[in-house]
Amino acid sequence: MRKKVFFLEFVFLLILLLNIVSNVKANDYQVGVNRNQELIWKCNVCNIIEMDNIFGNDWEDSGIFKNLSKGKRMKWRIDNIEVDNTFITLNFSEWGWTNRKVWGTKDNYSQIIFFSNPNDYTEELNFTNYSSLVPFWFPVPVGEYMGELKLNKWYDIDNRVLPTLNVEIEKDTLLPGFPSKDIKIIAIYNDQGILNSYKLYTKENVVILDIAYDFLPIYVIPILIGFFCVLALGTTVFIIKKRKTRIYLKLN
Amino acid sequence: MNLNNYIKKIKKRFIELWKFKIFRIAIIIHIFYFILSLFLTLTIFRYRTDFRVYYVTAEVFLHDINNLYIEGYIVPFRYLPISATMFIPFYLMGFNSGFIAFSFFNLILNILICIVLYKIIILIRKDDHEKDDKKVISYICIFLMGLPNIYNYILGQNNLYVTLLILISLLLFLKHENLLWNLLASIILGVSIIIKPTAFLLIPFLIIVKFDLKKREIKFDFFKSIIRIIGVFIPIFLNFIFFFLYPLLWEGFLDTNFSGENPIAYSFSFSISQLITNFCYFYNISFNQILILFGVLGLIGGLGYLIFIFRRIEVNSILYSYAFGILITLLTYFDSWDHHLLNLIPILIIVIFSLPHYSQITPKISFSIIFFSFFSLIFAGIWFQINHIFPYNILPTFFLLFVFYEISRYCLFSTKKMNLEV
Repeated sequence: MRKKVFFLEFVFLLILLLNIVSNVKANDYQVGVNRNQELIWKCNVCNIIEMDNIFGNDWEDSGIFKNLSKGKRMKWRIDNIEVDNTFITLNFSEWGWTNRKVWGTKDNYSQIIFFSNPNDYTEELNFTNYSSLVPFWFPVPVGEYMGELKLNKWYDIDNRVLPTLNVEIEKDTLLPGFPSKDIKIIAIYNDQGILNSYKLYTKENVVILDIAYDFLPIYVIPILIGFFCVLALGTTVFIIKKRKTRIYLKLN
Repeated sequence: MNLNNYIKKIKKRFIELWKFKIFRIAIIIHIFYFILSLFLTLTIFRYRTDFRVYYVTAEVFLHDINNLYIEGYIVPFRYLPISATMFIPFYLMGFNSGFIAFSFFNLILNILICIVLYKIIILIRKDDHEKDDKKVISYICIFLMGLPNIYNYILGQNNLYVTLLILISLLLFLKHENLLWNLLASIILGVSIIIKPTAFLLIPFLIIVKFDLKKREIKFDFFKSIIRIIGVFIPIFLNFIFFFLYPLLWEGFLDTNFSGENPIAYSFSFSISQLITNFCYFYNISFNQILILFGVLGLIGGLGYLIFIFRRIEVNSILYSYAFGILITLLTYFDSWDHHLLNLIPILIIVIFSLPHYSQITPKISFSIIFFSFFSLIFAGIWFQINHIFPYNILPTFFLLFVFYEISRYCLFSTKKMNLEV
């Protein structure tokens, strides 16, 4: 009887504890990048003729796509991060799209501001202030932040695996005559809130712009090599052991 | 037997099992999984679990059923409408208590799965296996210790319901020959498909058809096959009552499942279809996900079914039906995640005991079980780190194909070639 009472007490205590813990507010949005961190993006595909057709000839004259073409890279260096109850601000130096291997002096100084609480945005939010139509950076946890935004009907958030912003814009809805075709954008973010992959499609699922975050964590390759070695070694030992057992049984 | 005697019997058995070191470790690890998942889900992953989808689904089912497939969930709801009713009691408890109760239920399901698994193994175990329970217990403990369990608990997934129903139906098929039991087993399998359609591709394998290579004739048990097919479709067709009453529900179901809009473009799913999709996405190749799905299904499913028809094995062929059905689902459908391995691992464990002790394929399947239980999830983690340079979670696919190949080889070349008799 004592055991039963003890077990029931334990279960109720567990439920109570978990209820208390779970009521702690989970979502305080933060900045996932660090001061002085460098973010580099590379353009893998840029179909300039098609971009001209869809957005007009001046699409690469200003904004984040300025001077963009295939093979070029763009760099941000995070200068300052400010987080308060109202705003999350990221100040950064920018080196625009270039083929140069040496970055040289910065081209621009810029900032991105988000509300600390995504619910502070009005309804029907869109990102038309960015020529990319999606931000290159979000506060973290990025999936939750995007999920709480009240975006307009162009945007669909998919948090099933990687935080993803799917954008579908019909012909002539951005401005009269633009885009000249239906377009689709798939923007995938990493856990630091950085745009990991940006692909712009025409309706026929043809990629006309592909920008990727150019980064590989330093610990990944040694971990991978180590893990594969352990697995290979384990497999070999397992096979040898099984073979020996079988031969032994055969002989006996 | 009254309740007290039954409890006494369970206690006695538990004390016997507790003497096994691996059993003690498995219980401790499993309880650790359970408590850790409760903590993680109710704090960090609170807004990202599949249980939240089921929870909201139950709410929508009660208050606005027409919007069941339209409501903006974090993950789209794609199952048959009756499956939503399963979560109504948990919804009525509120999110926290509902999740805790659901997890407790999952824990109990795991215990029941182990019991049914044990019963099936004892039923089909070949004579040349050890007579004691040590090996059986070891494999069941591997299942309990498997990492897919913690993944399943954290997400609040319903795979264990499916596994239990699949195993119960398999037990009934193996234990009873007559039509009534066949019908009951098929109905239970149909219920598992309502909860989650993992076993849907298993349905063609219920048809009792075999091409006898020696006599060059087709053996086809029409009556039993029809009973099985009717049985499996009875629960599935019950959903059509809801589709008939709420036509918008039917439209939503079709849009969600067959418009090709919902599969993820880029993920760590280990199905062949998803690997192809990832390849196309990565290299900017235009693709149609429905065409990829049907192409892979035609190839793998067709091959599996042909092998099954031309099988040489005479006994327990229903077990290989289950193995093929689940393997084909995992290899072809876009969303094959590590928690789905909880449906496959018990079937593979049973396969091991259905083979002669020193069969050539036993070590290969047992190695695959170890991989699925302890390493597959690690590769999903690795995928998150390297997906921008190598977006393929390919090793679990390799092991699934490996198991598919070995079971096919066993089915086709029968026992003489494949067994090493000692």
